[in-house]
Amino acid sequence: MQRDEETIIKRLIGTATLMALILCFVVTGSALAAGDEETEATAEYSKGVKRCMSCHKEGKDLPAHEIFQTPMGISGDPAAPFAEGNHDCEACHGPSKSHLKRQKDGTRPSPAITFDDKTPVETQNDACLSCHDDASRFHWPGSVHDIEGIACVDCHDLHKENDPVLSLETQPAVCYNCHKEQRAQFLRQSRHPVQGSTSSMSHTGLMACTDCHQPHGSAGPGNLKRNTINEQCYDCHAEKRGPFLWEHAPVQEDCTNCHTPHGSNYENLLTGRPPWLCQRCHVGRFHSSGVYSGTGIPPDGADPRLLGKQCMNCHVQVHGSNHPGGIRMTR
Amino acid sequence: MTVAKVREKQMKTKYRFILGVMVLALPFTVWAQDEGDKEDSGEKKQATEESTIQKEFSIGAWYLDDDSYRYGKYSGLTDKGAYALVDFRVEKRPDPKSSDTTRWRIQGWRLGLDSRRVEFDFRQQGTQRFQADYREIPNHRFSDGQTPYRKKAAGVWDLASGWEVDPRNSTTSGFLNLQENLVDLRVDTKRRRLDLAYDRKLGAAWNLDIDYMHEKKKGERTLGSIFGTNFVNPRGVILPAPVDWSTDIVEAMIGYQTSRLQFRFGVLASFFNNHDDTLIFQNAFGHNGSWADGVQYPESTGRIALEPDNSYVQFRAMGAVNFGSATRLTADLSFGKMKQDDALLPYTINPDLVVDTPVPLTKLDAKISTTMFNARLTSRLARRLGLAVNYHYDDRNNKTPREIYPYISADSEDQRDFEDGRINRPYSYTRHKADAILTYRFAKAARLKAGIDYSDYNRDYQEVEDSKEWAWLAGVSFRGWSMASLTFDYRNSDRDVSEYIANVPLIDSHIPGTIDEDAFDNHPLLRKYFLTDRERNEYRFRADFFPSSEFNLGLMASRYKDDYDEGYFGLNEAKIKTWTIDAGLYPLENIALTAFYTFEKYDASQSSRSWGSSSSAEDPENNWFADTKDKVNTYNIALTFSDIGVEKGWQGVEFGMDYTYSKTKSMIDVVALSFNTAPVPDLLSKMQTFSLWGSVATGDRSSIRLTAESAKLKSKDWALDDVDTDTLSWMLLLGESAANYDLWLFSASWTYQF
Repeated sequence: MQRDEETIIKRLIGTATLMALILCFVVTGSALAAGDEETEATAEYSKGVKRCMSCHKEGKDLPAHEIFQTPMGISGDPAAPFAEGNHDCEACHGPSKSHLKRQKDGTRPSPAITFDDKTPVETQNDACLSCHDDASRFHWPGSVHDIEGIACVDCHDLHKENDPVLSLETQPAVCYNCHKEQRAQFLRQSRHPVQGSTSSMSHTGLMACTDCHQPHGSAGPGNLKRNTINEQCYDCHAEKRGPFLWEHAPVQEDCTNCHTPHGSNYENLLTGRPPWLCQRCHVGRFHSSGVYSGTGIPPDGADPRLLGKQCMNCHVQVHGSNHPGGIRMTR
Repeated sequence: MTVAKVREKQMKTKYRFILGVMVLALPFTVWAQDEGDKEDSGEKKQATEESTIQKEFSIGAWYLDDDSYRYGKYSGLTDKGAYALVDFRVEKRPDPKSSDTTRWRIQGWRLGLDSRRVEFDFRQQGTQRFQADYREIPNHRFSDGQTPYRKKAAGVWDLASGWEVDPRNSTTSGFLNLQENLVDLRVDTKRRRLDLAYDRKLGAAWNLDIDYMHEKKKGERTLGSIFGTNFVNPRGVILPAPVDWSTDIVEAMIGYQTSRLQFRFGVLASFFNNHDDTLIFQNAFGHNGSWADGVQYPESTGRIALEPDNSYVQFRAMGAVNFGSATRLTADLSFGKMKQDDALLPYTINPDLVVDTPVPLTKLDAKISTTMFNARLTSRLARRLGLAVNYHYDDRNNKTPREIYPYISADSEDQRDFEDGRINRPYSYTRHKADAILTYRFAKAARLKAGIDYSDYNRDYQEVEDSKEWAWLAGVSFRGWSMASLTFDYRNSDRDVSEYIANVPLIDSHIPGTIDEDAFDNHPLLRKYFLTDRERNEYRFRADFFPSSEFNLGLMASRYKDDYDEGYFGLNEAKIKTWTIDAGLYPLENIALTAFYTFEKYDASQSSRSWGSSSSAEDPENNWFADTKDKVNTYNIALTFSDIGVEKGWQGVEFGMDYTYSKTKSMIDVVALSFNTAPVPDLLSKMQTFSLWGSVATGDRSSIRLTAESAKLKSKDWALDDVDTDTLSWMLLLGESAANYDLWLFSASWTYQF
């Protein structure tokens, strides 16, 4: 199926035309819908961080003093919230002068933007994205986490000296708050070495979720950093990329046809146990369609498709062979 | 040109490329530095002396009370004894009130173990950032293997001197002095990985990112090494194959960004280098009647081709336009090329075998062009209504030359007739995927979601040329309540494929005219699961309750079910059920008790028909069925006390415990209509860890931490248990056992901050 570049370019032009038509529709629709926008109440800025820190200091409820240990808290960067003219805390929390005065019932009005359920997620995230709009957020709009309504603060702890999600050692625990299946999978025998949910040395973590995933969105499936599953796997398993003389079609299509990435009951993160896993696609004459059961396991028997490396005792290069006699992946 | 010279040339090309990208990036960096200096001068105050440098060192020791390769699989704690515990962190943070923006940190973990890591992070905030991360990642597989082979050189294994074999016996029972010649074997690998990243702002709108990764992986892995067959059954040995790999990846991107427009251009280049081309081994078996005359120990050698060097270079352009604050269009286009042109091996390493037709190519010159295009349109059609439309195009165009390779299955036989040759099938595919998702927010944090997606997959040289899949999804989530949140998602997809022609791979791999058009190798009733009609239903439910700040409870359940067409062989049905319960109890500010339990169940049903010389492919009495059930139970409970005895004046006293249990059980049930079967023993693993830790401050700046961890693993695997090196007649195994350990790990460390 060697196609020329002309065919590819034609397809891309067709796609671009279709996208342009959809864009016209959406832009028109969103312009018409602009009247639906709710108007923000007018609000004033307070006089700055000193007033905020008189309450949000160390030892008080909702302390925020550690922010000055973080990149957010320095004033030397003109883009940082605490740089001159950037309204300090209100750079993120919005103009909140009214928050300084107690109401008749003794409570205070919330700041204009609170990073909790009092403020819509879109508004919270807009506050973050108004500054953090660099390359790693390029694919955020429309990404899985955006669609699911995940707020930046669901993962990031901005008022802490060290944001746990930014460290390889502590990041997985943050992800496990939502990704509970993966939390259990990383506690199995056969797993990628991502830190389990405990500090036990049995579950040592040498990788982080972000070694493979870009949680802010990507062009790849499952927020993978690369464009496809296989491209992602090849970053660390480049020996399986080939191209090989004799290819194994499901390997070249998608590594997850046979492997599961986080943790498995089976060695090498396989999704099933050979020979039955292999026999889901191989029903050939003789051994590949054979019936394998306890009759081939000691003490009842000893079948090479069941013991040792099972099918891979012989089909040693299942990811592809470069030997001229390797069509059956045996060489 | 020799292989070494070719390799040298490739290396030079690779490093020239990397160097080139770096050199190209340099002028931008220098220019940006100048621009940055101009901007910075004048207005900023001088950095004060109040910037802080924090230093923290932990020193101590681990003690492991038993040997276990498997316990230390990734940590490096493999052998009984003491290990140095060394961690450190040195960090400079700027004074937040000054104009200083420089922050750096260097930190090291587990420096006394094989799994050590050191990270350096330097940034001038708003200007540039440099990161370096060095990691060592061991993978200790097993230490109780045995082999009669001796390593002669990397990738070359000879039998022990004095190896005796019955010359007329080509099974392992013909090995006359195997036990006397077995030596112990450990199999492991280690990755040493260095990641470098540099980001630089180039003026107001431009920025440059360069990432570089170099990884060396060394050690050994196990590889089946087939010397010959009797046309049906193999003769071979499992051997440690050399792993001496290096991978270099460089990625450079330059971007431009304004509030309305964003675009980025870049290049990604990845080079894989295998320093060992082959695994060469002496044949251990006596003569088999199917082999060429004279082929038997000691005058015969086998050779396996190891993974060839390869490269991948991809150019990428991305752009985004914001139409007002509500609508954004992004496009992401990449063109790539994979290459592999290692010299092909000859058909056999044994010069006495008859090989009439030479290998058609000296080098494969394999090339694959990849094209990927992603477009995404997102819009807030109204304040509460959002739309995301995606299109994804992925094309793999394999231009590797197709040739006829006369078949020779192993180093034991003469080349077969030219008409029995095989033709390689360089796979290509094209995928299109489009989806649209609407989200509607009601209340402040509740939302509805609905969407559709469509994909089209076109392949060659496979049983199915085209497959189409439609899916729809819906979901609802309530996250705005003060005491609870709920989420429910459903997705249904239906894959419909074009005509399944079972013998396409067979026909395409044979010389036209040499094989009957109706011939088949895979049974015509087989439907490969990734190439056949399928309906998939997915449900996911999650509820979290937090009635008070002292207590929270979470529930999560999900179910996936794949249904395949009835009446065919292969995978017929697959199901995954998962549920999790989480709880957290915080009775006092300094006490935390957390627990979770996860249950997972995987079910797969498959069917097949055994056919061969004595059993007919048409006879349904030859059908057999296999059901696989995997059950996994995972528990964890953790209790932490912090700031103990503060009222008594104690400082920094903390204590914690953690118990984790993970049990996996795989049950495989095989039923055949007319063949003898016996129950397959369950595959089991039970992994338990119980950890205790405590720390106490020994001054304002120092503390002592003690830990104790009990770790147990019991596993049963019939592929390894009670299987000796010569249990199989046709294969010489390594005889390693399934992983089991029961041990304690203690540690004591002293941490000093200054």
